[in-house]
Amino acid sequence: MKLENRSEFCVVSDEELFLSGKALSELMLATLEKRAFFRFQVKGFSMSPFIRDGDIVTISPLSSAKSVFGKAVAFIHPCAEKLIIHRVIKDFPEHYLIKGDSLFYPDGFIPKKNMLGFVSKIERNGKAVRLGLGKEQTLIVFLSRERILPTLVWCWRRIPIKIRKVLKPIL
Amino acid sequence: MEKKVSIEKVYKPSEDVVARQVQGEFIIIPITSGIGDLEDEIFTLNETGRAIWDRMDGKKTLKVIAKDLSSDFESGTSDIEQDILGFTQELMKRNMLVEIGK
Repeated sequence: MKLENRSEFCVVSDEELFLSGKALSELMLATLEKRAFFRFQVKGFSMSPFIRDGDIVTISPLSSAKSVFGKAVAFIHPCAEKLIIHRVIKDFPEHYLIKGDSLFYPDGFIPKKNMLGFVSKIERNGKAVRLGLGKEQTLIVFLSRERILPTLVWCWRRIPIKIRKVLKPIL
Repeated sequence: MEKKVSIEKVYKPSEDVVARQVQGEFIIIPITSGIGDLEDEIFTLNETGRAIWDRMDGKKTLKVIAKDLSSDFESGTSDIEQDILGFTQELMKRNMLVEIGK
């Protein structure tokens, strides 16, 4: 084996690197362990409308939150072993009950040790989004738990796209 | 100002990076202003870069690392030294390494 040209040793990644949930969670955990924040782009619709597909979120270490009730948390699902970002809707001594805002059913009781961090910032189209990060979280939990929010999202998705585009700026 | 890298000096990975082998790639994420940002520049090292990185333990000088690597690579020690110096310079420029024993 020959020693390669030094410019080949280290590559700056210009291209989008597609990381699996497992890889992402490893990098996230390693970053949070250094008490740093972790910023990345999310995929999926389960937290719509508060966190949308393509939003950039910042995950903060759990130690920086007094309570995670109502917050969107990043965790590893114990059965699926997948990295998920969903909301804590109930706090138990050893577990959290966690649910995606637009989903009808919760993820189940997730051990607290599976938590990685919580969403402290959301960016959409280069702008910070505050809705869903403040005191309104308690209301979101209620609407989500009572399945009002998933029903509204379900109805919204059934409206033709053309009409949705007209309604979006108003809403 | 560019930091002067010397073959007689000792370096180690900065505390302000996260380096992990994931999905068959060795990825380095710099932590800038307290944020590890996947939407900013991230770095990958190839096998050779990794071999050098792994030996930068804060104890060995670059000279010792070059000598160590010369048994694994079919290159002369002086060639390896030049390559390691270039590699270290690049990483120092990006604050991914720190110099020890100052």
